[in-house]
Amino acid sequence: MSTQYGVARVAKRFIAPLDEVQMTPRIRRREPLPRNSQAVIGVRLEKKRPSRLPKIGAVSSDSSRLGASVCAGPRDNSPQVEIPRQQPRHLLFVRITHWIHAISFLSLLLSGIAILLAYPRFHWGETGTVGTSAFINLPFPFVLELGIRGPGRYLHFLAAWITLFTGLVYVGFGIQSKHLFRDLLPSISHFRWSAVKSVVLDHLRLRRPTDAEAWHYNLIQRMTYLTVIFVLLPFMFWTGLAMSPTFTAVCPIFVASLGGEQSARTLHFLDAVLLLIFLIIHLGMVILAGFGRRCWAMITGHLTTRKKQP
Amino acid sequence: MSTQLSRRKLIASGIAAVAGVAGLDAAAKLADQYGLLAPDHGGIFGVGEALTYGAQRILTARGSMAREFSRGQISRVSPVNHGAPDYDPYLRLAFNNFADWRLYVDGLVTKPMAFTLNDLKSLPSRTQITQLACEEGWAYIAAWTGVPLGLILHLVGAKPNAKWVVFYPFNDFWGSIDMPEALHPQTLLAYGMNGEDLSLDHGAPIRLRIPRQLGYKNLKYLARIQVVESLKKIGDGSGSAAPGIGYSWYGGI
Repeated sequence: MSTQYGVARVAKRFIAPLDEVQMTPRIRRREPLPRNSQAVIGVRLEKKRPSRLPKIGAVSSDSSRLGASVCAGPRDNSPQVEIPRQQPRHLLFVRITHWIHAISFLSLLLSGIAILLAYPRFHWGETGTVGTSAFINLPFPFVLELGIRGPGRYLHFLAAWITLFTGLVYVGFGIQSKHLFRDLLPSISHFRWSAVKSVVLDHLRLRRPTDAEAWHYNLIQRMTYLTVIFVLLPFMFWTGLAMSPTFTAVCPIFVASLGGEQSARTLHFLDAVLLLIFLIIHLGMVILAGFGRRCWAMITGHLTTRKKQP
Repeated sequence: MSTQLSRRKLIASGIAAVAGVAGLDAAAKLADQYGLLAPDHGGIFGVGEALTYGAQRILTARGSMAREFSRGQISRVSPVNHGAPDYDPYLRLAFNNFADWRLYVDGLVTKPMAFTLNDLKSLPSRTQITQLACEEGWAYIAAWTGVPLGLILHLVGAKPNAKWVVFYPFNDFWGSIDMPEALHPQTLLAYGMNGEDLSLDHGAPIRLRIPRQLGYKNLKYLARIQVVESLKKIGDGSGSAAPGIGYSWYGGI
Protein backbone atom coordinates (compact mmCIF):
# COMPACT_ATOMS: atom_id res chain seq x y z
CA MET A 1 0.00 0.00 0.00
CA SER A 2 2.79 2.39 0.81
CA THR A 3 4.38 1.89 -2.60
CA GLN A 4 1.10 2.60 -4.17
CA TYR A 5 0.85 5.85 -2.31
CA GLY A 6 4.43 6.67 -3.17
CA VAL A 7 3.99 6.11 -6.88
CA ALA A 8 0.77 8.00 -6.89
CA ARG A 9 2.33 10.91 -5.08
CA VAL A 10 5.22 11.06 -7.51
CA ALA A 11 2.82 10.93 -10.33
CA LYS A 12 0.75 13.67 -8.82
CA ARG A 13 3.71 15.93 -8.42
CA PHE A 14 4.94 15.63 -11.99
CA ILE A 15 1.85 14.85 -13.80
CA ALA A 16 -1.64 16.15 -13.55
CA PRO A 17 -4.35 14.57 -11.78
CA LEU A 18 -3.97 11.50 -9.74
CA ASP A 19 -7.05 9.94 -11.19
CA GLU A 20 -5.53 9.90 -14.61
CA VAL A 21 -2.72 7.68 -13.46
CA GLN A 22 -4.66 5.33 -11.30
CA MET A 23 -7.59 4.93 -13.54
CA THR A 24 -7.76 2.09 -15.95
CA PRO A 25 -8.34 2.93 -19.60
CA ARG A 26 -11.97 2.19 -19.12
CA ILE A 27 -12.42 4.96 -16.62
CA ARG A 28 -10.09 7.32 -18.41
CA ARG A 29 -12.14 7.14 -21.53
CA ARG A 30 -15.35 8.02 -19.77
CA GLU A 31 -13.92 10.93 -17.82
CA PRO A 32 -13.69 14.16 -19.73
CA LEU A 33 -10.16 15.43 -19.55
CA PRO A 34 -9.82 18.39 -17.19
CA ARG A 35 -9.53 21.59 -19.14
CA ASN A 36 -6.56 22.87 -17.19
CA SER A 37 -4.58 19.73 -17.72
CA GLN A 38 -1.06 20.71 -18.67
CA ALA A 39 0.14 17.23 -19.27
CA VAL A 40 -0.56 14.33 -21.41
CA ILE A 41 -0.50 11.00 -19.83
CA GLY A 42 -0.17 7.86 -21.74
CA VAL A 43 -0.67 4.62 -19.98
CA ARG A 44 0.34 1.67 -22.03
CA LEU A 45 -2.69 -0.46 -22.38
CA GLU A 46 -3.01 -4.15 -22.46
CA LYS A 47 -3.82 -5.58 -25.86
CA LYS A 48 -7.18 -6.70 -24.60
CA ARG A 49 -9.38 -4.25 -22.78
CA PRO A 50 -9.98 -5.23 -19.16
CA SER A 51 -13.39 -6.71 -18.94
CA ARG A 52 -14.00 -5.18 -15.56
CA LEU A 53 -12.40 -2.60 -13.39
CA PRO A 54 -9.10 -3.87 -11.98
CA LYS A 55 -8.34 -3.09 -8.36
CA ILE A 56 -6.38 0.07 -7.75
CA GLY A 57 -3.58 -1.97 -6.27
CA ALA A 58 -3.28 -3.98 -9.43
CA VAL A 59 -2.43 -0.94 -11.45
CA SER A 60 -0.16 0.78 -9.00
CA SER A 61 1.78 -2.27 -7.92
CA ASP A 62 3.04 -2.60 -11.47
CA SER A 63 5.21 0.42 -10.99
CA SER A 64 7.54 -0.47 -13.85
CA ARG A 65 4.70 -0.07 -16.27
CA LEU A 66 3.91 3.35 -14.99
CA GLY A 67 7.48 4.50 -15.03
CA ALA A 68 8.04 3.26 -18.53
CA SER A 69 5.05 4.71 -20.18
CA VAL A 70 4.00 7.83 -18.41
CA CYS A 71 5.39 10.80 -20.11
CA ALA A 72 4.61 14.36 -19.43
CA GLY A 73 5.05 17.70 -20.97
CA PRO A 74 3.29 21.03 -20.77
CA ARG A 75 0.96 21.51 -23.66
CA ASP A 76 2.12 24.89 -24.80
CA ASN A 77 5.86 24.94 -24.92
CA SER A 78 7.43 21.53 -25.22
CA PRO A 79 6.57 19.18 -28.04
CA GLN A 80 4.65 16.14 -27.11
CA VAL A 81 6.25 12.80 -27.44
CA GLU A 82 4.36 10.20 -29.30
CA ILE A 83 3.67 7.26 -27.12
CA PRO A 84 3.30 3.97 -28.86
CA ARG A 85 -0.15 2.76 -27.95
CA GLN A 86 -1.39 -0.70 -28.62
CA GLN A 87 -4.96 0.39 -28.20
CA PRO A 88 -6.07 2.04 -31.45
CA ARG A 89 -7.92 5.34 -31.34
CA HIS A 90 -10.75 3.72 -33.28
CA LEU A 91 -11.48 0.03 -32.97
CA LEU A 92 -11.27 -2.05 -36.14
CA PHE A 93 -15.02 -2.58 -36.47
CA VAL A 94 -15.63 1.15 -35.99
CA ARG A 95 -13.17 1.95 -38.77
CA ILE A 96 -14.61 -0.57 -41.21
CA THR A 97 -18.26 0.32 -40.56
CA HIS A 98 -17.42 4.05 -40.63
CA TRP A 99 -16.08 3.92 -44.17
CA ILE A 100 -18.78 1.59 -45.46
CA HIS A 101 -21.33 3.99 -44.00
CA ALA A 102 -19.50 6.95 -45.51
CA ILE A 103 -19.87 5.42 -48.98
CA SER A 104 -23.44 4.19 -48.50
CA PHE A 105 -24.51 7.52 -46.99
CA LEU A 106 -23.13 9.44 -49.96
CA SER A 107 -24.90 7.00 -52.29
CA LEU A 108 -28.16 7.50 -50.43
CA LEU A 109 -27.72 11.27 -50.50
CA LEU A 110 -26.99 11.49 -54.23
CA SER A 111 -29.66 8.97 -55.26
CA GLY A 112 -32.09 10.67 -52.88
CA ILE A 113 -31.51 13.98 -54.63
CA ALA A 114 -32.02 12.27 -58.00
CA ILE A 115 -35.37 10.91 -56.78
CA LEU A 116 -36.38 14.17 -55.09
CA LEU A 117 -35.84 16.27 -58.22
CA ALA A 118 -38.71 14.50 -60.01
CA TYR A 119 -41.10 16.17 -57.61
CA PRO A 120 -39.35 18.81 -55.46
CA ARG A 121 -42.34 19.70 -53.32
CA PHE A 122 -43.78 18.25 -50.16
CA HIS A 123 -47.26 17.72 -48.80
CA TRP A 124 -48.76 16.80 -45.46
CA GLY A 125 -51.24 13.97 -45.03
CA GLU A 126 -52.00 11.00 -47.28
CA THR A 127 -52.13 12.67 -50.68
CA GLY A 128 -50.53 15.45 -52.65
CA THR A 129 -50.08 16.06 -56.35
CA VAL A 130 -49.60 18.84 -58.81
CA GLY A 131 -52.63 21.05 -58.36
CA THR A 132 -52.89 20.63 -54.60
CA SER A 133 -51.41 22.86 -51.91
CA ALA A 134 -47.82 22.13 -50.99
CA PHE A 135 -46.29 22.11 -47.51
CA ILE A 136 -42.78 22.86 -48.76
CA ASN A 137 -42.04 24.05 -52.27
CA LEU A 138 -38.36 23.78 -53.14
CA PRO A 139 -37.07 26.19 -55.78
CA PHE A 140 -36.00 23.44 -58.16
CA PRO A 141 -37.38 22.52 -61.56
CA PHE A 142 -39.16 19.19 -62.03
CA VAL A 143 -36.46 16.94 -63.48
CA LEU A 144 -38.41 14.23 -65.26
CA GLU A 145 -36.73 13.48 -68.56
CA LEU A 146 -33.19 12.99 -67.26
CA GLY A 147 -32.60 9.26 -66.73
CA ILE A 148 -31.32 9.58 -63.17
CA ARG A 149 -34.37 8.58 -61.16
CA GLY A 150 -34.63 4.90 -62.09
CA PRO A 151 -30.97 4.09 -61.41
CA GLY A 152 -31.24 6.41 -58.41
CA ARG A 153 -34.01 4.27 -56.97
CA TYR A 154 -32.00 1.07 -57.57
CA LEU A 155 -28.96 2.63 -55.86
CA HIS A 156 -31.04 4.09 -53.02
CA PHE A 157 -32.40 0.72 -51.95
CA LEU A 158 -29.09 -1.11 -52.42
CA ALA A 159 -27.34 1.52 -50.28
CA ALA A 160 -30.17 1.34 -47.72
CA TRP A 161 -29.63 -2.41 -47.34
CA ILE A 162 -25.87 -1.88 -46.95
CA THR A 163 -26.49 0.85 -44.37
CA LEU A 164 -28.89 -1.42 -42.49
CA PHE A 165 -26.58 -4.44 -42.38
CA THR A 166 -23.52 -2.35 -41.55
CA GLY A 167 -25.48 -0.51 -38.89
CA LEU A 168 -26.58 -3.77 -37.28
CA VAL A 169 -22.98 -5.04 -37.33
CA TYR A 170 -21.85 -1.75 -35.74
CA VAL A 171 -24.45 -1.86 -32.97
CA GLY A 172 -23.79 -5.56 -32.36
CA PHE A 173 -20.04 -5.09 -32.02
CA GLY A 174 -20.65 -1.82 -30.19
CA ILE A 175 -22.55 -3.65 -27.48
CA GLN A 176 -20.19 -6.64 -27.40
CA SER A 177 -17.05 -4.50 -27.16
CA LYS A 178 -18.77 -1.98 -24.84
CA HIS A 179 -17.77 0.74 -27.34
CA LEU A 180 -21.27 2.20 -27.19
CA PHE A 181 -21.24 2.45 -23.39
CA ARG A 182 -17.62 3.46 -22.94
CA ASP A 183 -16.97 5.77 -25.86
CA LEU A 184 -20.40 7.18 -26.70
CA LEU A 185 -22.63 7.07 -23.64
CA PRO A 186 -21.83 10.19 -21.60
CA SER A 187 -21.06 9.71 -17.93
CA ILE A 188 -22.45 11.82 -15.12
CA SER A 189 -19.23 13.84 -15.02
CA HIS A 190 -19.82 15.02 -18.60
CA PHE A 191 -22.87 16.84 -17.35
CA ARG A 192 -21.09 18.80 -14.63
CA TRP A 193 -21.77 22.45 -15.29
CA SER A 194 -18.10 23.34 -15.69
CA ALA A 195 -17.55 20.50 -18.14
CA VAL A 196 -20.61 21.38 -20.20
CA LYS A 197 -19.62 25.05 -20.23
CA SER A 198 -16.09 24.37 -21.37
CA VAL A 199 -17.08 21.95 -24.11
CA VAL A 200 -19.73 24.34 -25.45
CA LEU A 201 -17.32 27.28 -25.34
CA ASP A 202 -14.64 25.22 -27.08
CA HIS A 203 -17.04 24.47 -29.91
CA LEU A 204 -18.24 28.06 -30.14
CA ARG A 205 -14.66 29.32 -30.31
CA LEU A 206 -13.78 26.58 -32.81
CA ARG A 207 -10.81 25.68 -30.64
CA ARG A 208 -8.69 22.88 -32.00
CA PRO A 209 -8.77 19.91 -29.65
CA THR A 210 -5.48 19.03 -28.01
CA ASP A 211 -3.83 15.71 -28.72
CA ALA A 212 -4.99 14.46 -25.36
CA GLU A 213 -8.57 15.50 -26.00
CA ALA A 214 -8.49 13.75 -29.34
CA TRP A 215 -8.41 10.41 -27.52
CA HIS A 216 -11.97 10.75 -26.26
CA TYR A 217 -15.25 11.97 -27.59
CA ASN A 218 -16.51 15.01 -25.76
CA LEU A 219 -20.07 15.49 -24.61
CA ILE A 220 -21.29 17.17 -27.81
CA GLN A 221 -19.72 14.45 -29.97
CA ARG A 222 -21.25 11.71 -27.86
CA MET A 223 -24.73 13.21 -27.93
CA THR A 224 -24.51 13.90 -31.68
CA TYR A 225 -23.29 10.43 -32.60
CA LEU A 226 -25.89 8.76 -30.40
CA THR A 227 -28.63 10.91 -31.96
CA VAL A 228 -27.50 10.08 -35.49
CA ILE A 229 -27.15 6.36 -34.78
CA PHE A 230 -30.25 5.79 -32.68
CA VAL A 231 -32.66 8.53 -33.75
CA LEU A 232 -32.01 10.05 -37.18
CA LEU A 233 -30.92 6.91 -39.06
CA PRO A 234 -33.67 4.63 -37.67
CA PHE A 235 -36.19 7.37 -38.45
CA MET A 236 -34.93 7.41 -42.05
CA PHE A 237 -35.75 3.70 -42.29
CA TRP A 238 -39.10 4.24 -40.62
CA THR A 239 -40.17 7.08 -42.93
CA GLY A 240 -38.72 5.30 -45.96
CA LEU A 241 -40.65 2.11 -45.26
CA ALA A 242 -43.77 4.19 -44.59
CA MET A 243 -43.67 5.15 -48.28
CA SER A 244 -43.62 1.52 -49.42
CA PRO A 245 -47.15 0.38 -50.36
CA THR A 246 -46.22 -3.26 -49.78
CA PHE A 247 -44.67 -2.58 -46.40
CA THR A 248 -47.58 -0.44 -45.20
CA ALA A 249 -49.97 -3.21 -46.28
CA VAL A 250 -48.18 -5.40 -43.72
CA CYS A 251 -47.65 -2.72 -41.04
CA PRO A 252 -50.15 0.12 -41.57
CA ILE A 253 -49.16 1.66 -38.22
CA PHE A 254 -45.82 2.69 -39.76
CA VAL A 255 -47.52 5.24 -41.99
CA ALA A 256 -50.66 5.95 -39.95
CA SER A 257 -48.54 7.12 -37.01
CA LEU A 258 -46.85 9.70 -39.23
CA GLY A 259 -50.05 11.18 -40.60
CA GLY A 260 -49.96 9.63 -44.07
CA GLU A 261 -47.79 8.68 -46.99
CA GLN A 262 -47.01 12.25 -48.03
CA SER A 263 -46.21 13.20 -44.43
CA ALA A 264 -43.78 10.27 -44.35
CA ARG A 265 -42.12 11.61 -47.51
CA THR A 266 -41.88 15.10 -46.01
CA LEU A 267 -40.38 13.74 -42.77
CA HIS A 268 -37.97 11.56 -44.77
CA PHE A 269 -36.76 14.72 -46.49
CA LEU A 270 -36.48 16.76 -43.27
CA ASP A 271 -34.56 13.93 -41.58
CA ALA A 272 -32.25 13.80 -44.61
CA VAL A 273 -31.64 17.54 -44.21
CA LEU A 274 -30.68 17.00 -40.56
CA LEU A 275 -28.30 14.21 -41.58
CA LEU A 276 -26.82 16.44 -44.25
CA ILE A 277 -26.27 19.18 -41.65
CA PHE A 278 -24.60 16.56 -39.44
CA LEU A 279 -22.35 15.52 -42.34
CA ILE A 280 -21.31 19.12 -43.04
CA ILE A 281 -20.57 19.89 -39.38
CA HIS A 282 -18.82 16.54 -38.95
CA LEU A 283 -16.54 17.27 -41.93
CA GLY A 284 -15.98 20.82 -40.68
CA MET A 285 -14.94 19.59 -37.24
CA VAL A 286 -12.67 16.94 -38.73
CA ILE A 287 -10.98 19.62 -40.83
CA LEU A 288 -10.66 21.80 -37.73
CA ALA A 289 -9.08 18.96 -35.78
CA GLY A 290 -6.71 18.07 -38.63
CA PHE A 291 -8.24 16.35 -41.61
CA GLY A 292 -5.30 14.18 -42.64
CA ARG A 293 -4.48 12.96 -39.14
CA ARG A 294 -8.10 12.23 -38.31
CA CYS A 295 -8.72 10.37 -41.54
CA TRP A 296 -5.52 8.45 -40.97
CA ALA A 297 -6.72 7.55 -37.49
CA MET A 298 -10.05 6.39 -38.88
CA ILE A 299 -8.26 4.27 -41.49
CA THR A 300 -5.37 2.77 -39.51
CA GLY A 301 -6.47 3.34 -35.93
CA HIS A 302 -3.30 5.27 -35.12
CA LEU A 303 -3.74 8.81 -33.95
CA THR A 304 -0.45 10.55 -34.68
CA THR A 305 0.70 13.53 -32.67
CA ARG A 306 0.53 16.92 -34.21
CA LYS A 307 3.94 18.18 -35.33
CA LYS A 308 3.41 21.82 -34.55
CA GLN A 309 1.56 23.01 -31.54
CA PRO A 310 -0.96 25.78 -32.02
CA MET B 1 5.50 -16.80 -37.00
CA SER B 2 3.78 -13.69 -38.16
CA THR B 3 4.21 -14.60 -41.83
CA GLN B 4 2.79 -18.02 -41.11
CA LEU B 5 -0.15 -16.46 -39.40
CA SER B 6 -0.77 -14.01 -42.20
CA ARG B 7 -0.54 -16.79 -44.78
CA ARG B 8 -3.00 -18.83 -42.79
CA LYS B 9 -5.23 -15.79 -42.62
CA LEU B 10 -4.91 -15.29 -46.35
CA ILE B 11 -5.87 -18.88 -47.10
CA ALA B 12 -8.75 -18.68 -44.65
CA SER B 13 -10.10 -15.49 -46.19
CA GLY B 14 -9.69 -16.99 -49.67
CA ILE B 15 -11.74 -20.00 -48.66
CA ALA B 16 -14.28 -17.70 -47.01
CA ALA B 17 -14.57 -15.64 -50.21
CA VAL B 18 -15.12 -18.73 -52.35
CA ALA B 19 -17.64 -20.06 -49.84
CA GLY B 20 -19.34 -16.66 -49.86
CA VAL B 21 -19.74 -16.63 -53.64
CA ALA B 22 -20.91 -20.25 -53.66
CA GLY B 23 -23.26 -19.43 -50.78
CA LEU B 24 -24.71 -16.47 -52.69
CA ASP B 25 -25.27 -18.69 -55.71
CA ALA B 26 -26.95 -21.36 -53.59
CA ALA B 27 -29.04 -18.71 -51.84
CA ALA B 28 -30.16 -17.32 -55.21
CA LYS B 29 -31.20 -20.80 -56.41
CA LEU B 30 -33.07 -21.48 -53.17
CA ALA B 31 -34.77 -18.06 -53.28
CA ASP B 32 -35.80 -18.68 -56.89
CA GLN B 33 -37.35 -21.99 -55.89
CA TYR B 34 -39.55 -20.27 -53.32
CA GLY B 35 -40.47 -17.40 -55.64
CA LEU B 36 -38.30 -14.88 -53.82
CA LEU B 37 -36.05 -13.82 -56.68
CA ALA B 38 -36.92 -10.77 -58.76
CA PRO B 39 -36.48 -11.15 -62.55
CA ASP B 40 -34.04 -8.20 -62.61
CA HIS B 41 -31.69 -9.61 -59.95
CA GLY B 42 -28.62 -9.40 -62.20
CA GLY B 43 -26.25 -6.48 -62.52
CA ILE B 44 -24.67 -4.20 -59.93
CA PHE B 45 -27.95 -3.18 -58.30
CA GLY B 46 -29.28 -6.74 -58.44
CA VAL B 47 -28.33 -7.65 -54.87
CA GLY B 48 -30.39 -4.78 -53.47
CA GLU B 49 -33.28 -5.65 -55.75
CA ALA B 50 -33.15 -9.31 -54.75
CA LEU B 51 -33.09 -8.36 -51.05
CA THR B 52 -35.97 -5.89 -51.36
CA TYR B 53 -38.19 -8.25 -53.32
CA GLY B 54 -37.31 -11.31 -51.24
CA ALA B 55 -37.83 -9.46 -47.96
CA GLN B 56 -41.18 -7.99 -49.01
CA ARG B 57 -42.40 -11.34 -50.32
CA ILE B 58 -41.51 -12.99 -47.02
CA LEU B 59 -43.28 -10.18 -45.14
CA THR B 60 -46.44 -10.58 -47.21
CA ALA B 61 -46.34 -14.40 -47.26
CA ARG B 62 -49.15 -14.63 -44.73
CA GLY B 63 -51.28 -12.18 -46.68
CA SER B 64 -51.65 -8.46 -46.26
CA MET B 65 -54.17 -5.96 -47.50
CA ALA B 66 -53.28 -2.53 -48.85
CA ARG B 67 -54.79 0.29 -46.84
CA GLU B 68 -58.28 1.30 -47.88
CA PHE B 69 -59.74 4.74 -47.26
CA SER B 70 -63.10 6.38 -46.73
CA ARG B 71 -65.12 8.04 -49.46
CA GLY B 72 -64.31 11.46 -47.99
CA GLN B 73 -60.59 10.90 -48.53
CA ILE B 74 -60.89 10.56 -52.31
CA SER B 75 -58.64 13.13 -53.99
CA ARG B 76 -60.12 15.84 -56.17
CA VAL B 77 -57.11 15.77 -58.49
CA SER B 78 -55.74 12.57 -60.03
CA PRO B 79 -52.91 13.41 -62.43
CA VAL B 80 -51.52 11.05 -65.04
CA ASN B 81 -48.05 10.96 -66.56
CA HIS B 82 -48.72 9.52 -69.98
CA GLY B 83 -52.03 9.89 -71.76
CA ALA B 84 -53.71 7.48 -74.14
CA PRO B 85 -51.43 5.89 -76.75
CA ASP B 86 -51.33 7.64 -80.09
CA TYR B 87 -51.77 4.34 -81.86
CA ASP B 88 -54.29 3.85 -84.62
CA PRO B 89 -55.80 0.48 -83.67
CA TYR B 90 -56.26 1.75 -80.11
CA LEU B 91 -57.82 5.04 -81.19
CA ARG B 92 -60.26 3.20 -83.47
CA LEU B 93 -61.34 0.96 -80.58
CA ALA B 94 -61.72 4.00 -78.35
CA PHE B 95 -63.82 5.79 -80.95
CA ASN B 96 -66.24 2.86 -80.84
CA ASN B 97 -66.37 2.93 -77.01
CA PHE B 98 -64.31 -0.28 -76.96
CA ALA B 99 -67.23 -2.37 -78.24
CA ASP B 100 -64.79 -4.30 -80.47
CA TRP B 101 -62.08 -4.49 -77.85
CA ARG B 102 -61.15 -7.92 -76.49
CA LEU B 103 -58.95 -8.92 -73.62
CA TYR B 104 -57.07 -12.04 -74.64
CA VAL B 105 -55.94 -14.33 -71.84
CA ASP B 106 -53.63 -17.18 -72.83
CA GLY B 107 -50.40 -18.95 -71.98
CA LEU B 108 -50.23 -21.64 -69.30
CA VAL B 109 -54.01 -22.00 -69.07
CA THR B 110 -56.38 -24.87 -69.78
CA LYS B 111 -58.87 -22.64 -71.62
CA PRO B 112 -57.57 -19.50 -73.37
CA MET B 113 -60.34 -16.89 -73.49
CA ALA B 114 -61.20 -13.49 -74.98
CA PHE B 115 -63.33 -11.16 -72.86
CA THR B 116 -65.35 -8.20 -74.07
CA LEU B 117 -65.71 -5.18 -71.82
CA ASN B 118 -69.30 -6.22 -71.07
CA ASP B 119 -68.12 -9.74 -70.19
CA LEU B 120 -65.81 -8.26 -67.61
CA LYS B 121 -68.47 -5.90 -66.26
CA SER B 122 -70.92 -8.78 -65.82
CA LEU B 123 -68.47 -10.71 -63.64
CA PRO B 124 -68.49 -10.24 -59.85
CA SER B 125 -66.76 -6.93 -59.17
CA ARG B 126 -64.95 -5.29 -56.31
CA THR B 127 -64.78 -1.58 -55.51
CA GLN B 128 -61.93 -0.36 -53.35
CA ILE B 129 -60.77 3.10 -52.27
CA THR B 130 -57.00 2.90 -52.35
CA GLN B 131 -53.97 5.09 -52.80
CA LEU B 132 -51.97 5.32 -56.00
CA ALA B 133 -48.43 6.44 -55.20
CA CYS B 134 -46.17 7.41 -58.07
CA GLU B 135 -42.46 6.66 -57.85
CA GLU B 136 -41.92 10.38 -58.59
CA GLY B 137 -43.23 11.14 -55.11
CA TRP B 138 -46.85 12.24 -55.43
CA ALA B 139 -49.92 10.26 -54.47
CA TYR B 140 -53.69 10.39 -54.75
CA ILE B 141 -56.64 8.36 -53.51
CA ALA B 142 -59.48 7.12 -55.71
CA ALA B 143 -62.16 4.46 -55.82
CA TRP B 144 -61.52 1.75 -58.41
CA THR B 145 -64.04 -0.84 -59.61
CA GLY B 146 -63.03 -3.96 -61.45
CA VAL B 147 -62.80 -7.73 -61.64
CA PRO B 148 -60.28 -9.41 -59.37
CA LEU B 149 -57.52 -10.78 -61.60
CA GLY B 150 -57.62 -14.00 -59.56
CA LEU B 151 -61.15 -14.63 -60.80
CA ILE B 152 -60.07 -14.31 -64.45
CA LEU B 153 -57.14 -16.67 -63.83
CA HIS B 154 -59.59 -19.11 -62.25
CA LEU B 155 -61.93 -18.89 -65.26
CA VAL B 156 -59.19 -19.62 -67.77
CA GLY B 157 -57.72 -22.31 -65.54
CA ALA B 158 -54.17 -21.16 -64.86
CA LYS B 159 -51.94 -24.21 -64.48
CA PRO B 160 -50.22 -25.00 -61.18
CA ASN B 161 -46.72 -24.45 -62.62
CA ALA B 162 -47.63 -20.90 -63.68
CA LYS B 163 -45.43 -18.39 -61.83
CA TRP B 164 -45.88 -15.04 -63.56
CA VAL B 165 -48.61 -13.08 -65.30
CA VAL B 166 -47.50 -10.89 -68.21
CA PHE B 167 -49.49 -7.86 -69.42
CA TYR B 168 -49.35 -6.41 -72.91
CA PRO B 169 -50.89 -2.97 -73.32
CA PHE B 170 -51.50 -0.91 -76.46
CA ASN B 171 -48.30 1.03 -75.73
CA ASP B 172 -44.77 -0.35 -75.32
CA PHE B 173 -44.83 -0.40 -71.55
CA TRP B 174 -45.42 -4.09 -70.99
CA GLY B 175 -44.90 -5.69 -67.60
CA SER B 176 -45.48 -8.65 -65.34
CA ILE B 177 -46.34 -9.54 -61.77
CA ASP B 178 -45.79 -12.67 -59.72
CA MET B 179 -48.55 -15.18 -58.89
CA PRO B 180 -49.03 -14.08 -55.23
CA GLU B 181 -49.67 -10.52 -56.43
CA ALA B 182 -51.93 -11.74 -59.28
CA LEU B 183 -54.08 -13.81 -56.92
CA HIS B 184 -54.26 -11.09 -54.27
CA PRO B 185 -57.91 -10.07 -53.65
CA GLN B 186 -57.10 -6.36 -54.19
CA THR B 187 -55.45 -6.91 -57.57
CA LEU B 188 -58.08 -5.77 -60.06
CA LEU B 189 -58.61 -5.41 -63.76
CA ALA B 190 -60.22 -2.02 -63.19
CA TYR B 191 -62.78 -0.60 -65.62
CA GLY B 192 -64.26 2.06 -63.35
CA MET B 193 -62.81 4.94 -61.37
CA ASN B 194 -64.67 7.14 -58.89
CA GLY B 195 -68.01 5.74 -60.06
CA GLU B 196 -67.44 6.35 -63.77
CA ASP B 197 -65.93 4.42 -66.64
CA LEU B 198 -62.16 4.61 -66.71
CA SER B 199 -61.15 7.68 -68.74
CA LEU B 200 -58.74 7.45 -71.66
CA ASP B 201 -56.04 9.15 -69.61
CA HIS B 202 -56.44 6.68 -66.78
CA GLY B 203 -56.10 3.62 -68.96
CA ALA B 204 -59.39 2.81 -70.71
CA PRO B 205 -60.81 0.31 -71.24
CA ILE B 206 -59.08 -1.49 -68.36
CA ARG B 207 -55.99 -0.99 -66.32
CA LEU B 208 -54.24 -3.22 -63.85
CA ARG B 209 -54.75 -1.96 -60.31
CA ILE B 210 -52.28 -3.33 -57.72
CA PRO B 211 -52.54 -1.12 -54.64
CA ARG B 212 -49.58 -2.84 -52.97
CA GLN B 213 -47.23 -1.57 -55.68
CA LEU B 214 -46.31 1.84 -57.05
CA GLY B 215 -48.11 3.60 -59.89
CA TYR B 216 -45.89 2.42 -62.74
CA LYS B 217 -46.78 -1.23 -62.06
CA ASN B 218 -50.46 -0.40 -62.56
CA LEU B 219 -50.39 -0.88 -66.32
CA LYS B 220 -52.97 0.88 -68.47
CA TYR B 221 -54.61 0.15 -71.87
CA LEU B 222 -54.42 -3.63 -71.53
CA ALA B 223 -54.87 -5.83 -74.60
CA ARG B 224 -53.52 -9.25 -73.65
CA ILE B 225 -52.65 -11.23 -70.55
CA GLN B 226 -50.30 -14.17 -70.71
CA VAL B 227 -49.66 -16.69 -67.95
CA VAL B 228 -46.11 -18.10 -67.96
CA GLU B 229 -43.72 -20.22 -65.95
CA SER B 230 -40.60 -18.23 -66.79
CA LEU B 231 -39.98 -14.66 -67.88
CA LYS B 232 -36.60 -15.44 -69.38
CA LYS B 233 -37.79 -15.70 -72.98
CA ILE B 234 -40.10 -12.72 -72.89
CA GLY B 235 -38.66 -9.45 -74.10
CA ASP B 236 -35.18 -8.92 -72.66
CA GLY B 237 -35.91 -11.38 -69.85
CA SER B 238 -36.07 -8.74 -67.13
CA GLY B 239 -39.81 -9.15 -66.65
CA SER B 240 -41.01 -5.77 -67.92
CA ALA B 241 -40.12 -2.73 -69.96
CA ALA B 242 -39.19 -0.90 -66.73
CA PRO B 243 -35.64 -2.29 -66.22
CA GLY B 244 -34.85 -1.36 -69.81
CA ILE B 245 -35.33 2.31 -68.94
CA GLY B 246 -33.62 2.03 -65.57
CA TYR B 247 -36.53 1.17 -63.27
CA SER B 248 -36.82 -1.89 -61.08
CA TRP B 249 -39.21 -4.64 -62.10
CA TYR B 250 -40.64 -4.72 -58.58
CA GLY B 251 -42.59 -1.66 -57.46
CA GLY B 252 -43.35 -2.50 -53.83
CA ILE B 253 -41.25 0.37 -52.47
